[in-house]
Amino acid sequence: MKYCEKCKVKIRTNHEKCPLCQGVIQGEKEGTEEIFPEIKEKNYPGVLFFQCFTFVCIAVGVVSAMINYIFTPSLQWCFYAIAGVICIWVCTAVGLLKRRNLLKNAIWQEIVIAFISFGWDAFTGWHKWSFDYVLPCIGIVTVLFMIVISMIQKLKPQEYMIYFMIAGGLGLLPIVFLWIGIVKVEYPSILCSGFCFLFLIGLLLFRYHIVMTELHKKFHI
Amino acid sequence: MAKWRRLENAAKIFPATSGKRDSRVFRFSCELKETVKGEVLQEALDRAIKEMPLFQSVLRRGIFWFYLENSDIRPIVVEENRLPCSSIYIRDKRTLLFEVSYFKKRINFEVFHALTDGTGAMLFLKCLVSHYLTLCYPNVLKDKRLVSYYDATEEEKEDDGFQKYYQMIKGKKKLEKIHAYQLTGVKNGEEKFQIIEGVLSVKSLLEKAREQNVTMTVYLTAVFLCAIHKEMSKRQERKPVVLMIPVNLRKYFPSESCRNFFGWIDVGYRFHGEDSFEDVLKEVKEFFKKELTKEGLSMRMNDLISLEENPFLRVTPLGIKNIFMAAANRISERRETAVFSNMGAVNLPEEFAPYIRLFDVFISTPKIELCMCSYHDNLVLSFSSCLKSTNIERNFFRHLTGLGIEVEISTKLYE
Ligand SMILES: [Zn+2]
Repeated sequence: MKYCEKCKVKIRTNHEKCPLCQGVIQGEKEGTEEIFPEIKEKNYPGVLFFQCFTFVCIAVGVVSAMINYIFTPSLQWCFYAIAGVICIWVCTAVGLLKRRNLLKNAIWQEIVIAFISFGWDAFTGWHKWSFDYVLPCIGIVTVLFMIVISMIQKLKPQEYMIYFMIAGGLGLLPIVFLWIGIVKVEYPSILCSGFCFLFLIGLLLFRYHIVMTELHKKFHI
Repeated sequence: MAKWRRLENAAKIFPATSGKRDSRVFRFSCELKETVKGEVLQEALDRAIKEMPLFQSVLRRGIFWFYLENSDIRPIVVEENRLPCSSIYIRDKRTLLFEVSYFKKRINFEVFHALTDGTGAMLFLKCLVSHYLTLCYPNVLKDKRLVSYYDATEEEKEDDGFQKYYQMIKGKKKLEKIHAYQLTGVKNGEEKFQIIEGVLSVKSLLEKAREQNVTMTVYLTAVFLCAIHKEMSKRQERKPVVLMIPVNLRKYFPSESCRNFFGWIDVGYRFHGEDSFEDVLKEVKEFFKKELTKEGLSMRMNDLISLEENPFLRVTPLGIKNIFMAAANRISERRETAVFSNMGAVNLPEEFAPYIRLFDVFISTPKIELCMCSYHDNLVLSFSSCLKSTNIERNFFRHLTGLGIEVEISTKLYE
């Protein structure tokens, strides 16, 4: 064991200098004993991936702007390229942020993709294709994706139920938009909302108890 | 269907404010006299978790509040591989809120504060260590049977003490606003808490405290205050040094809960240049007598609950609420300079004594925190700190060695 004359303390762990006063210490290394292991700094490969990915996204935006202004200065196409890259970046970022819970991830992606498609639709002439096709499609796809994931991961009711309900609920939006009159092509919206309605009814009918406890849990004030 | 429960009052702040700055994780260790065997520890853990299944919970987000849900995840013993008190709770990940690890002679139990407080954690570690020792040395217990010294029904263990005693408390007195002196300096970095712990004899310290006619806690509080004061400039003396001292409310309001049930008192001292240690000691003693009463503690408890009962806050979505709670936490942190947490003496059946050297405890902190815990004659005083400087620790331990008390220092420092 080592000893510091100034602090008058015995030092159990191995140090070159006194851990309290940084002064010179006496004693041999013999008899010293660590109480914590040496722990190496962890490297998270995900961080580097995300840095690279972000850099590539920015680079694509900048390069397309450069090409645009050098070769086709009369056409302003680079804004579309940049907007596209931003959309891809946002989707990936959300996906990475919520990577630990795939069902939650799916809900987020559904919302993000919906808003992105509204945006693109609005800036490309507002033909309402986002409401006609995109919204019903992602509504059905999300529900199916969730069912598959919860089967593969063998999730328990308390892990999937709330997301099933949210996804089912979001799937009812197309019929609302149809009713308001935004939707022009009717059959995708009818298909999606009908499917989701049945899905929700099924949950209520066959899993009533679980649905209710889950709602109570999630909404307790 | 998995059982679930609300977070108790004091616990609500922890998930909202845990992060890289303060992981809200604390560790209890038990140092044995022989090297720990991993497989046996796993067996002991399996038994302990069966006895206290409350710890097998995961933290989940509701729309308005977090809640705890029972799980069937089996806790796995690991050889220590994380920095002390680094984050255990990971967002969106269904993992247990505690970890049992071992290193050489030490069994470590690290736990996220939302799950339990020091008393609950100590109960679990005691249970774990008892099982471990009975597995290692089958003949150690005289009556061959591990007596569960924790006599409470499942329901009692799950009690929310705050809710239970809320009705009793009447009268509203606002806490006065204090801006305590704040420590500054170079930090160790995210999730790096520097640990300096000293082992000394209970008897020798108790002797010194008795000479002054005070308890050990009062004595050490005064030593800590003076250790901080030594690092202050004249200008900084305008602000008081305030120590937050957590109090186990079970001692004042009977409860068998092994969830969070603690309060705290703030002990402050305004230094004016040349205050002697005796001056500080005298005032601290008075302060403890005045503050450490059922009334004083219930006033703070009341404050905490009334915040939770606020109808506007209750219906605020969790994400927004977390921002508010984090901000409120930052403001209330200004009230204190440091924290001094006394876990008291650990008692276990005497048969185990030959195998155990000591128990120690420390916690993550955005400041500097002193935790103390004793087993037989071994008193462990552990400082955890986010600052690189070791001056306060040096002042503190030099004060003790100056009295002729022998101290043995062990540390975890960062480059
Ligand atoms: Zn020294």
